[in-house]
Amino acid sequence: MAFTLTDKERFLINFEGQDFSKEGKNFIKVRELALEYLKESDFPTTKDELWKYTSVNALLKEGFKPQTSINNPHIDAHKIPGLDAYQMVFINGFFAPAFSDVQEDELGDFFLMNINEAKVKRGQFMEQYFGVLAKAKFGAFNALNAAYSQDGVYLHVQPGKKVDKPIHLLFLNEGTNVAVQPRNLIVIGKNAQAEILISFDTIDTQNALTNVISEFVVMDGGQLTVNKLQYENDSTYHVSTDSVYQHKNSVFHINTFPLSGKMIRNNLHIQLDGQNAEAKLFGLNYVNGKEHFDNHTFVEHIKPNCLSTELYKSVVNDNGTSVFNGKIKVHVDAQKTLAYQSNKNIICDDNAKAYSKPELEIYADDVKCSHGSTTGQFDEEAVFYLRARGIKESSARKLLLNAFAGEVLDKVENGVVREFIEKKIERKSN
Amino acid sequence: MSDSEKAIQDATTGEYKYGFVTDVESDKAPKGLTEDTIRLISSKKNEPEWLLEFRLKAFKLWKEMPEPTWAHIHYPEINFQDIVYYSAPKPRKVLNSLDEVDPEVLKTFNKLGIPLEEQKLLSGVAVDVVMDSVSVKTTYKEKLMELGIIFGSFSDAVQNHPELIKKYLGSVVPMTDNYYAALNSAVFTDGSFCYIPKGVRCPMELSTYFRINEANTGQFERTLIVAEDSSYVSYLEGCTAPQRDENQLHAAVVELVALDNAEIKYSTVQNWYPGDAKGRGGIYNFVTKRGICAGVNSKISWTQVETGSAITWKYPSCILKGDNSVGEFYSVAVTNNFQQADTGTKMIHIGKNTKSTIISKGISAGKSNNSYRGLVKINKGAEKARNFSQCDSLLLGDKCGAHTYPYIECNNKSAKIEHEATTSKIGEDQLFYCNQRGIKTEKAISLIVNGFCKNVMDNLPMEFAVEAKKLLEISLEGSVG
Repeated sequence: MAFTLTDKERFLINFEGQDFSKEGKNFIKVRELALEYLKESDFPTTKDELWKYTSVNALLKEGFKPQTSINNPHIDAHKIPGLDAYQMVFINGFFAPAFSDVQEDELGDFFLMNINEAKVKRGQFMEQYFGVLAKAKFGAFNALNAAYSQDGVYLHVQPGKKVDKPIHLLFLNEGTNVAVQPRNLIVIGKNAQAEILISFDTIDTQNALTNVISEFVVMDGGQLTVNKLQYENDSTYHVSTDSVYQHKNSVFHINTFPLSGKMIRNNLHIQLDGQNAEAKLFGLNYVNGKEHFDNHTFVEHIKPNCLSTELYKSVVNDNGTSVFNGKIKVHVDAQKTLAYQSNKNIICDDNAKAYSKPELEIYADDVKCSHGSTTGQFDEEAVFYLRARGIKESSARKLLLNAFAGEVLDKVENGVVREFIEKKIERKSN
Repeated sequence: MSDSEKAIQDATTGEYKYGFVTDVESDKAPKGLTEDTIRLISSKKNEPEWLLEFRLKAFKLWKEMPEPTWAHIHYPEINFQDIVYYSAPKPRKVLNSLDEVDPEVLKTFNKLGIPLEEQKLLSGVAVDVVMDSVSVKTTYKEKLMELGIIFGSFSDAVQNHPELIKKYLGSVVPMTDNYYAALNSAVFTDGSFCYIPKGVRCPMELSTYFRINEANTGQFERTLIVAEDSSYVSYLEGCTAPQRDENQLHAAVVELVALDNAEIKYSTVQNWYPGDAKGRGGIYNFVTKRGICAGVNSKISWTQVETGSAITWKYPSCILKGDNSVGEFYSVAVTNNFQQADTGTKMIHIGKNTKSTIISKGISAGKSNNSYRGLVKINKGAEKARNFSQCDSLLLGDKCGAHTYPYIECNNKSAKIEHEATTSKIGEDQLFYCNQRGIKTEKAISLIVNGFCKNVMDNLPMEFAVEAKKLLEISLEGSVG
């Protein structure tokens, strides 16, 4: 053979040939720029500081391809029981209007539609935000999504309005070697409020790649709560980027629960660019088998008087790997910053691994910042205490696990969602 | 003629070319680094063949290594061909009295409370007036020899104890380790060697300061300390007195080997020239320091006070290989003006029941940047390993930066690791409290800073600790108000 393709080239070939020509000029431009960047840049390797503990070599060797879904998927089994919410369903990254509650009334409290529709109907408003936070040049996965994303959610809550029910974004995968690339844009207007549940589930797949980007903009005094649940099957690779931009007095609260999957990598980037803004980040990794869950968070304090609170916990079983990398950066002049970060890991088996890298980068002096990280195991004395009172060892450990996980689960205010997560964890811990 | 023969011939002609004579001025290699330079260094020092090969191998590796860029520091590119790699120890310029010494330096001496006699020694005043001090040294040396302790310059050890050097050189910091370790392995000129035999407890603090032949160890220093079974040694490096040095780049390598039940305590006070208040000049201190607890129950403890250098880049580390071994790292790093420090430690737990403690205190003032970067790694076989890390940063002034980059890697379920870090400035109410009691702001700050560093300072040998405290004050002078 005269020439051979590199893994990257072979990987990218499958994405070519998708037709986006119906989109507006400016949106096509975003795709073109991303494509250009994708050609020049390489996918990360473990030599890259940000991907030190997570290898994507295996992922690049798989032949993922964007695919539409079968005609009649049954999604009822994938709804969250008892949840009353506006629902938006995407199958393999494509919008499924039959199962979705679109809101596009100009007089309503909020717009909720698929992003392809929004590009036509709300194009002008969208352009100022789309692709601004999660830039293609931030990395090959970002560029891949920017160039080839199929669809996604557009939500804009009007100033001063509150969405009366939670909004549930449900992403389902189906098929073999399927590549799914949703892209979401969420804008919370001045003093508006919303609660979003994002969940990723599998109908039935052999090998899947989910590469999702969500951009969140929270305007002055806006409040947004996000619960993010990842429970795709064990042949799914999941790379996810959430970019958040907060204006003054806003509150952004996110709970991340990587619950199952072959490999999950979450990138969460929050910019506090307005005084008195507050960010709350919580996460719980529950790792079994050979699962590899990696949470990267990056909180930037750009303006003074902001507060960020962060707590990530993980329980690692079997041959699993848990990675946490949290960075807090306090910019020059971001005085009176309060930033707290904590990471706690419990290792339960001989082959389980936990990597933790809490970072502080501080350029202002009048700040209070702290981070803590612990890695250990269940307190044997506590186990003994419970067993001495006639509780079986397995039950005792489960009790302690619940207490450990409880600290993060308590941050989920929606009872239905919390119960759903608890069940998932319980099933996993049996 | 084979390649090696030719190379040898080249080297010998090289010597002729630059004149191997005692003349001081010509006893200096030309600028730049080539194989010839290394052969020259090696032959001047009359080194055995294996050491020359060691150097050449390191040089070959170094040429292929990229210069590291990952640290949080910035500096103009170093031209490695613009450095003189060998110059024979020159006698210091002898001054007749203290009056000839730079008054700035004297002022600092007085603040540090260094005895007059010592001041003279440090600033190179004619030695005959401090004969006492010399005789003290000689008595020390005799005492050490009685116990079988070998302590002297690295070059002497190469001549007198080649078997020990051959066994341990590069065993902890291999030449492949990093860019600057490779460079050092190729061109190191001298340093210290210390060997404590079985069961011996070294009766005094060993210090480069007491070493005869101490003059000018050069910018590529190599230190090797071996503690045999059940022995103990406390070693002091550096000096609280300000050190002016013409060499801009310092790339030293320090290797410690602790065998069964042995303990090594290594303390450093580093006060190289940090450059002027505008950030011009100053020394780049790129050091590789590592110790291995090779035997069971062994212990290595690093204590450092870093106040000098324009750039400090060092990570004194412990490889905890022996079961029940202990690694400790206590550090105070102070940066002011435009200084940059990227320092920390690595604790690699390999043996069972290994323990490590990391206490790091960073203080940044002016426009400086101070980073802690550390790794705690628990290998799979390190049952019941235990680590505690605490990294606190204190910010004085709103233009400086303090950063923490810890890496925590755990591969064993019975390990316990704790890490905590805080960053803050001196509390207004703390200052107010002091002011209210008649303590001036500057004094109050030094009081608070000393309290902040206390649990590191407590690990320094006593006299050292007293001087180090004063040094902190001096380093932070003028950074407040």
